[in-house]
Amino acid sequence: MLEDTFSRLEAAKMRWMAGGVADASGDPLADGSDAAEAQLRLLAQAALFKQSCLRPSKPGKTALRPLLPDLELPVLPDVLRPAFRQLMQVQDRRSRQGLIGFMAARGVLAHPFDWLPPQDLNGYPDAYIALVKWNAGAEQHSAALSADSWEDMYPAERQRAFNALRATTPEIARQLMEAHAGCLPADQRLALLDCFVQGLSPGDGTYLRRLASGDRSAKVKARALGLLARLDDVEDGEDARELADFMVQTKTGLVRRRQVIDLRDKLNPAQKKRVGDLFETVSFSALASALGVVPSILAANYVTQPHTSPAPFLEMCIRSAPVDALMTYWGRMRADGAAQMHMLAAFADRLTQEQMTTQALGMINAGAVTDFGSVLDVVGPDAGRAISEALLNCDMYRTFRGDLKSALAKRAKGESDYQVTTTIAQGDAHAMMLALLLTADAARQVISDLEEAGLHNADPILRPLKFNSALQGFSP
Amino acid sequence: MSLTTSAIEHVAPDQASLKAANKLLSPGKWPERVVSGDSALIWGACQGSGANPYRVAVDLRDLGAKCSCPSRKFPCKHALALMLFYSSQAADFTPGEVPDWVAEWLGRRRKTVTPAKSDGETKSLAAAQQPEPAKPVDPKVAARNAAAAAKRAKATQAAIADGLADMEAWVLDQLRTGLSDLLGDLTGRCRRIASRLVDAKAGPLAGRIDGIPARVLAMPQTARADALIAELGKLVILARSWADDCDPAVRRVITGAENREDLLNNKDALRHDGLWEVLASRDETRRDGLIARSTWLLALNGAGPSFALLQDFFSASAGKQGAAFAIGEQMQANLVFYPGPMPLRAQIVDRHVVEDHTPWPALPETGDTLRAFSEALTREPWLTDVPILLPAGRLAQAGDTPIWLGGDSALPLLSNTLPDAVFGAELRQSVVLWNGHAADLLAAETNLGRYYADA
Repeated sequence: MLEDTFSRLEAAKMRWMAGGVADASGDPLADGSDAAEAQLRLLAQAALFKQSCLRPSKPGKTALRPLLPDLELPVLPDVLRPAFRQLMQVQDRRSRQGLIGFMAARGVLAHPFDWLPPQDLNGYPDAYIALVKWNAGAEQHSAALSADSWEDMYPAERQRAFNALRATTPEIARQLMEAHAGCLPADQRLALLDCFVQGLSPGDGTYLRRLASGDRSAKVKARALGLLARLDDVEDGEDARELADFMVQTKTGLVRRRQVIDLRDKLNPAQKKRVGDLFETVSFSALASALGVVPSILAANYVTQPHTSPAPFLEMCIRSAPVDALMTYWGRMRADGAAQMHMLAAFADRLTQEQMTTQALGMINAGAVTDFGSVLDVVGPDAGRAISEALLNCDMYRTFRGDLKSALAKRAKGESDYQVTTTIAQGDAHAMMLALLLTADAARQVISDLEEAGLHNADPILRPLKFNSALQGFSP
Repeated sequence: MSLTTSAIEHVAPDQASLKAANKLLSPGKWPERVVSGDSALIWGACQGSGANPYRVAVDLRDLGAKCSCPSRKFPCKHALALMLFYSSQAADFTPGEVPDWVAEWLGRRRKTVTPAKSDGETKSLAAAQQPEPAKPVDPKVAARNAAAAAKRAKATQAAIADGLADMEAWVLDQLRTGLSDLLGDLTGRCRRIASRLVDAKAGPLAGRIDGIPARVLAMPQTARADALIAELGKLVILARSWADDCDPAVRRVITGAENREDLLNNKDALRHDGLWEVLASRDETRRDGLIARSTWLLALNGAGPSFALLQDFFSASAGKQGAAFAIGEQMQANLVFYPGPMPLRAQIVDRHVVEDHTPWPALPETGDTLRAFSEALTREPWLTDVPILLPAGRLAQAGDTPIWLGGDSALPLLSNTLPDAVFGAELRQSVVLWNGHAADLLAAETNLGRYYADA
């Protein structure tokens, strides 16, 4: 019966699609009516027959994805998910990475319905590796990194395992990379090479020299050269001598005369460019040698004042100077007021996290903070009580509160102008960065301070700080 | 923070607004009146003429106001009424946490705050509170008006019947000239017959026909012929169901829904007081310049209807309207359903926010996942979309089409923008809008928590 009706209505459909009058002769509902009426009755039946009597057939081939993997950390509870979605909607990539990093530091992951990490996981916590693998359709397996498992591992997972291996058995890690990394893309080779700062030894020299001379990527070559420089294994005598020729060693000071090393005055633009290029390739030790001084003297005598950004000399020190020489020069920059917080972020692979935090703390206490974002770059999210206390007592925080208070007061009087709007908009950015840095108690203190400055408790500026406070239960 | 009557009079745009606000000072119209902990903000929900209550917020520090109603007056009567309530009955406001929609408004108004301006007109609350004198009614005029109304109703009925006959003839023409041709010019041809129906005073039916191209062309190529036949066939069924004393559900589709007051006064209308969860809220911009907002509710307890649809219309030119509910919100609400064989569309009579979160109701054992749809078509065969609660299942891909798989059933899904992670979750229960060809996933209860498509 159903089959008959189906066949009849399918035939009618074919006729109507092409245009014309469908055969309604066998239709009991259309029986006895005129031709037009019969067509309408047949159409009404056709409208309902499939929807009421038939069911969609199961497709022959379906792709069912594996269930989401178990994650290393719990996901954000449902009650905080709307707040997370709001914060992720409006933030730039840096803030998004900061927020995800902050949550991981508090021991919680974003709910996968709300956010999935990008495939490269670049800048996001390793705790998301299982989700990245799931999303890429890769198998979840937890074998240790070895020659056999190298190919099977997902890049982010391999990177993590390689870093761990380099920390324990650097030679085995190097041998694995030598054997397998040649066919990897440049960004993955570069990321693996970054792990060589752990356990760097003369045994790595041969491989690094091969990379420095023959790798396909200029970035990999430069990175290998930097590592070789730290091993004092760079033959850059000619370049170093050329760079030294652009420098002068003089004495300065009226009473206490002391030696200084500086670039020659009156370099023309082409020479300045050449100096910049040479700073990128010459190693610290080679330059000291070309100048005829020991490295500690170079670090103690090179001028600091002209450097208002991560200056080429500082970058060279970070890349290739011994740590004590680097810290000597950095100490002089701080003493001369030339050091800025954002420069410190580049020290990440030369100092431990504890040393970075100590340095950052010193700079915050010395009033060298011009934006909270650079503090985040240096110390990472959820930076602990000492940083929180220092930030809440620093000049920048006081200025931020004061400016916001004045802007809110003006706005309340209806005197909103460009400056007021800008100050309040900057408040958004400052509050976000503070929320990513501070402990929950400190975040609550900021909320209270900003309310005192005139913000209503419900103001969206306070959202990230409230999110921080609500995540306190997840503090490890 | 105290609020004086003179301050409210000062910010009112005109005397008429004050008068209109005064008529809203009945606690029954305000299921929700809340004040923030620091008494700087008040907000509430005012039941207006729409299905969704209007959300009103006032910043008491400068009497800035926000309301989700489409009024162009600022502040509108709802905001003024909330201020008047607070000035006289502040103790009746319950203290509460500032909700997100108020916080968002606070954030947005940072850039737009301007001091209140007075237009110089004298405005007085005392005058607004004066009762309007009753107008004497002349019996002859009343009889004349009644006769004119009856004549108009008869003419309307005749115009609609003519329009429906034209629509049937149009359907026959499409069958004769070929549905393949129609698919090639679907928007233009639907527009032409829809215009004819607007002239025939069947505006809602015209709106439905204007929506056919969007609904049909959203289908995969292979399903479009069936979808088009279903749309046309249901138009024929609607036309044949039309009569002077036809079912109110038919009249609603063809000429429009009865107004809120009539619905509330209808003693036969089904009422259901229960716990409801807001599943989804969809805005559809229509050809006539209106935005249709559909809010889907799921009943969490009681023996009444399983779903309710709150439907509102507002002008697209009035700008984006704030949603009346948060997705996922649960509330104790008394709903009155528009009469019909399949009660679905409803209005809220009153509601209370609940703090506890109640799980979804257990699904009765049935082998046929689409049985609810078949039953709905038996009652109202012209229906296009019906909400269905689905049992445990998973999402999968069949080629490019996402599908829901559960037991022996497989339902194609409309959206290709479902988040990847939902495909890796066990769906314990799901709510979809089934249109006879494909399902639109609204929400799901999963092993990883709730998923809401509109959150």
